[in-house]
Amino acid sequence: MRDSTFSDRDREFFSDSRLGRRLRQEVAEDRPTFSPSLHARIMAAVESEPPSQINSRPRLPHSRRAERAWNPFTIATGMVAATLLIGLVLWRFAADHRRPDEAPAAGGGERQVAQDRTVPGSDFTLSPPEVLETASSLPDIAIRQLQLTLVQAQDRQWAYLDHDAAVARRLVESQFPTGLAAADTP
Amino acid sequence: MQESEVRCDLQSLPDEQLARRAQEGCAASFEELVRRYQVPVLHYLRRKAFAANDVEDMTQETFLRAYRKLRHYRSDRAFRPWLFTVAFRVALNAARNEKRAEQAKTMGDLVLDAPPSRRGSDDHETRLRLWSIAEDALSEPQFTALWLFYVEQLSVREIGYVLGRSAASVKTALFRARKRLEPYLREFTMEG
Repeated sequence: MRDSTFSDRDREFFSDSRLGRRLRQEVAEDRPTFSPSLHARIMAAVESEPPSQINSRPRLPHSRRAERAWNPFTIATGMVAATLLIGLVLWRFAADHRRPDEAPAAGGGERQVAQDRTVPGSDFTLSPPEVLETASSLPDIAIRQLQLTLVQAQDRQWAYLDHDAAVARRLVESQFPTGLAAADTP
Repeated sequence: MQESEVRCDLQSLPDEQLARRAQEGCAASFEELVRRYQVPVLHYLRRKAFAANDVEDMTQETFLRAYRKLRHYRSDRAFRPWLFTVAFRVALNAARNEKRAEQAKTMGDLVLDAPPSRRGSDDHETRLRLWSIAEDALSEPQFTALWLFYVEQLSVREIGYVLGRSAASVKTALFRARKRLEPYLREFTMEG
């Protein structure tokens, strides 16, 4: 098993050197022989190992271990996501139930806004900034809803202006006796 | 199937397959690995010239640790470097323990069991003159790199795996070891 980090030239330089030959020669002369007694001793020690220390499950290849390593990570991520979701739901629930108790005037404000929308101008007791000031004690979501409603109401204030103008024009025209004047013409 | 037939079958299997079978609980496969590597491991540990009993204990410890840690072995890698990683650590621990014992002795502490002589017989030292010098002159990783390269014929990458170093670092260690030993080799040549 040779690797590319050690070139053939390097290997040749090391292996064929006098040093390499001498080192190999020395160990070849000193090589121990197989010892059956040592073998038996090692195997006896291995067999006497308590089963709990022996892991019979083979180590998985890297890719499969990586897959397995994802499982605890996925579980942890799922738990965090579930916690956040539950927290969000509870927060929304608390916000919805706090609104009427904490800001009773705000309900009146909303009703006022509704009135303003149906009859623009006539019963408009509060200007939009005043309504907002009144509603400032509401939770954030309620304020945002109010702002949206006000903007929508203001947008619709002139929504039927052309229609109304046409109706008014017909009303005014009908007051003039235009037909009679034409008939009286000699 | 007869035991001898099973053994014949196992003898034809590569190390990695035997290790995989041993991971699955096949004791005979592990025994075959012990049979194959008893001599290389014993040889590697003996070059340190520990007392003979210690070397046998260390060899046993190496295989016992290998057996315990077999689940950490990845069967897509060569078994020989993995086993020598275990042997290298056993040797390191033994060397550290011995060093501590020697330090304790030097400091005048009460040492009941004196460490055994690191050197073996004179004959052993004579035969392994250059290796004996290498043992004294080189650091443990340098010596192990030299041994694994020249004796076990491991590649630089595999030696790096054993020592926990990069291939470049192993090459540097080999060059330095060679440089340290060359003057002694010249001396031996002149004597010869």
